[in-house]
Parts: sequence; structure tokens; C-alpha cells
Amino acid sequence: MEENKSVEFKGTGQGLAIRVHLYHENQQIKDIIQQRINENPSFYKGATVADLTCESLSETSKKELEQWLADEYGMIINSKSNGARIKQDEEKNILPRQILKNDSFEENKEYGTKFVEGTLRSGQIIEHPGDVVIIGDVNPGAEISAGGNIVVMGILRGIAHAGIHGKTDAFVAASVLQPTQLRIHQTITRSPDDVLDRSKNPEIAKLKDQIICVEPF
Amino acid sequence: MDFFKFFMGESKKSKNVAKERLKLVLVHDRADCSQDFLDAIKGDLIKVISDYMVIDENEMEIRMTRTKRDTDDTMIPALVANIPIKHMKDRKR
Amino acid sequence: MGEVLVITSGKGGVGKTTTTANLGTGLAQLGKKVVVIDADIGLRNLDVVLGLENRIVYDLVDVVEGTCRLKQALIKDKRYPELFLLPAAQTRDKNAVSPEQMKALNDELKEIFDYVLVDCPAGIEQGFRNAISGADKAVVVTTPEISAVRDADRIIGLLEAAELRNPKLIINRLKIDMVRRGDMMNIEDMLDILAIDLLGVVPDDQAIVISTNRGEPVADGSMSQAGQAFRNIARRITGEEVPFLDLDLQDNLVHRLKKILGFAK
Repeated sequence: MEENKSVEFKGTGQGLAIRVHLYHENQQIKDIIQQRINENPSFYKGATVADLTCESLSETSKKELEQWLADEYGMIINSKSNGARIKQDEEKNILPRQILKNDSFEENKEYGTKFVEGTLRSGQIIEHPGDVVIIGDVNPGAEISAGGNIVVMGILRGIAHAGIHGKTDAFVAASVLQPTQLRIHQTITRSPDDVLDRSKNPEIAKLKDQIICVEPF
Repeated sequence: MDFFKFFMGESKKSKNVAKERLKLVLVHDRADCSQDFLDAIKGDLIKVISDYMVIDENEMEIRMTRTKRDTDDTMIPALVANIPIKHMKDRKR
Repeated sequence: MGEVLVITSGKGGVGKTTTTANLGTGLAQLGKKVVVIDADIGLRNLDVVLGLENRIVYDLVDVVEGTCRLKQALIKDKRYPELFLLPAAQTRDKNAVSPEQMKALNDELKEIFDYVLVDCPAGIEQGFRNAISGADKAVVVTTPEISAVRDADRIIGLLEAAELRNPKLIINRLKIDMVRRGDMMNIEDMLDILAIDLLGVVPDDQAIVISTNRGEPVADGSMSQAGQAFRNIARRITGEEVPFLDLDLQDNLVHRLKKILGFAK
């Protein structure tokens, strides 16, 4: 096994899972981790570590490693063995942002991604200069305005306006895309009046030659 | 009331009940029976009655209510005044 | 110079919005240039009743605040090119607009349109005061329910206090069979109590629900009784003398009542 595979980093719903496979000295493991983190420092900085598994290490060495991760990279250690607890809401807010921001939402680093959990109802507005992710439905009359992209993990029935500040390659994606209106930068489109054949599958809307195109993904 | 309704037939159809209740409510609504309004009436009553008798102004009570009409059982709005009399004035003139 | 009509009721759920949409449609059918304004800021509905909800970009508050020009916010109806909607803002509240601003807006609109119909919000607070501001005439919608009639009475008083004299009454959702059984106040009962002129009676009709589901006002070509009733009311608004609908051909009672009222021979 190669050295860089001997320490595995994995993003989970609860946070980072770090798994140490080989039998190494504590310092060696630290070096490997350091090397990985330096590849993408902003990604790991302040991240939550949900699980730290290392068969080879003693409980004391593990504690020491956790402490080091916290001190060196500001990581929040939340592994079961550690017993350290962070508040539920902190976990929700901090962690996915960290992971997703650098994973697939490269372009809005400066603003980050706003996560909204729950149904957006009529009259509610979400405004954010970066990307917006809704974990829930967006009902008719609700509105999302984002400087970047909009992703709805649910049914989008309201108004979504992506790229409000001129980002013309912004997209709107939803598990089910049935918006009253879609806007990307200054282009506006609406669903056709005959609402018979609406897709129930995930779709993504992008701007192509000043026209909003919707395609499955 | 339900007992009467049975015998009343036509006049106690639910729409008539509704109409009566509504009329009554509207008299209250339209009269705007604020305390000011009632106080104004009270003041005028005292003025008139005081010519004939001495009354206990503090114990005097005046309010809007509803009552049964004498001729039939229809409810009508009523202005009720409870005016304790202390004694009659000597009406020599 | 057009005319500004505010459609109001006091109580919610009696059919102000449906009435506004249908009278707008009915007047447009008669070749009038009409704009319907949704003054229910924060709870907009007129757009869905007309089936125009997906065309809204700007709204009344945007116009009033100068975010857009008036013409940009006016949405042309699907069916009638002379019918326009000025939608309410959904994400603001009633205080976003003042009565003075509404009056200025109405004055501007009646230069362009023959009829400006304002769909008033329920209640008697700020939203109501905004909606009646700048109106030339008022239409009061009620249903034959004790609560709706009581609120209508209150509204008539408030309209008169606001110098909107002689409001006209629309009785909505009259259930003929219940009237016949004596379980619903009839037209005469309500006119007796409210003592204002009757503009029209709209029978309770399932066609309303169906047409609202589709976003097509029932006055738009539908053969339903309600559709006919709304078309007749629209004609009366233009000053035409239209006989009242014979709401139930088999029902002598209704006919008798009309006779009493002098609407039938």
C-alpha cells in the first residue's frame, strides 16, 4: 500500500472520517496527514472530525493526534472515542459548508454556501451573495435570490433567481424543477401554460445563448 | 328556544333566526355603544329627570340590552336605565 | 377618464378576489380597458385566480417605490389583451404602501384604463384604508351568512365615513335550495338589513372552484350560472340595465321574492 493511501480522508454527513490503516509511528501519521491537508488547506481548516479510526494507535496516542489536529488546523473533534461533543446546530451549519464549498462550489469561496433546511413557504425570501442549497421544498410564492448557484434538494415550485450579480454561468438545479419562474442573471423564463408533461426527475437549468435551458442530470 | 322552534313553524326557520340575531347585533354595532355615547345619554337623562325627582346619580346604571317584544317573542334591542330615586321633588310650580 | 372601483367585504373568504377577477374579465369582454389591482399586500391571490402567477416580475410595491415603471409591472391577461393585472407584493406587508401612494397610483391608472378594480384585503386596518384610497365607487361583497353580513354592514359604515357614498352590494354564494327551505337568508332579508342597492347575486356554483383551479375566471365564456351572473354584473357596472338572473327556474319562491323586490313580473 502506498503511503498516501495509508491515511484515508472521507467526508460523511457528520463530518470528516479519518482512517489510519498502517502501523506507523505517531509522527509518521502526522506527517502524512499534514501532507494531505496542505494539498487543500482551506478545505480542512475548521472542519469537524466525526470519526478517527486507527487500529494501530493506543488510546493515548490517539488523543494526542486529535489534540494536534485541533491545535494545528482548528478542526473540531467529534469522534466517539473522544467523547467531545459539539452542539447540534454547529454541526449542521459549519460542517457541510466546509465540505461542499470546496468540493463543487469552487467559485463562491468568498461568500460561501448558504444552507437552508426545511420548506420555504410563500412570502419567504432567501437572499445570499454566494450559492444557496435548500434541503426541502420551495413552495409557490417563495423566492430564492443567489449570487451564485441554487440547488434545491426537493421540489422547486417558487421563484429561483441565480446569478443576481451577473454570474451568467450560474445554474438552478432541483430534485423536481417546477418553478413559477426561473431567472438567471437578467434572463427570465416561466413554465409553459399547459402544465401537462412536467418532469418528476432532477433537472438543471443553465443559461445558453441568452436562453434558459433545462436538462436532466 | 329549541322547544319553541318546534311549534313556531315558518317564523322560526333558521334564516329568520339568523336575521333577527343579525338585526340585534347591528343595532349594537351601528349605535357604537361606547362608554362616551352612554355617558352622553346618561347626562341628558339626569338633566330631564332631575326636574321631577332627586336621583342617586352614582348608582344610576344605563346600558344596551335585548328584550322580548310584548306582542310576540321577537327579541329586540333595548336601552335599559336603572335609576334609583331618592325622593320626589315638590312639584308646586 | 376611467373609474376606480374598490371591491371589499370586511370578512375574508366571501369571494372578493373571485369577484374582482370575474368582473375584470366581464368588463374586458365588453371591450373595456381594465386593470385589476391586488391590494392584498403580503397575501397575493388575484394572480393565481387569473392564472398569471408565473408572469410576475414586478409588483405594486415596486411601482410605488419606483423600483420599476408602472407599465413594467402591469401583466397582460392571457385571454383579453385589454385586461391587465397589477399584482401585490408577496414578501412585504401592508405598511409598504400609504393611502396617498395608492391614490396617486389610481389617478395614474384611470388616465389609461376605463375601469380600475381594486381587490381589497379582508379586515379594516391599513390594508383596507390603502385599498379604498383613491376609489370613486365601492362594491361590497357578502355571503348570506350572519357573520359576513355583519362585517358588510360595518364596512358600509366605514366606506360612508370615508366619503365613498352609496356602495353597491353583491350577494355571493347564494344557495337556492337552502333559501327555499328557509335555512339561508334570502336576497330580501339582506337588502332589508343592509339597505343598499343590489348590484347582483351570484349563486353558489361548483364551476367557481373548477375555474379557480384552472386559473380561468368563470365569467370567461363559461355557461355556468355564476359565470352568467358575473357577466351581468359587469354589464350593470357599465350602466346597462340587466334583469336579475332567474336563479332557479323551478323555484317559485325565488320568483316571488323577486316580485316583492320588483325585479320580476
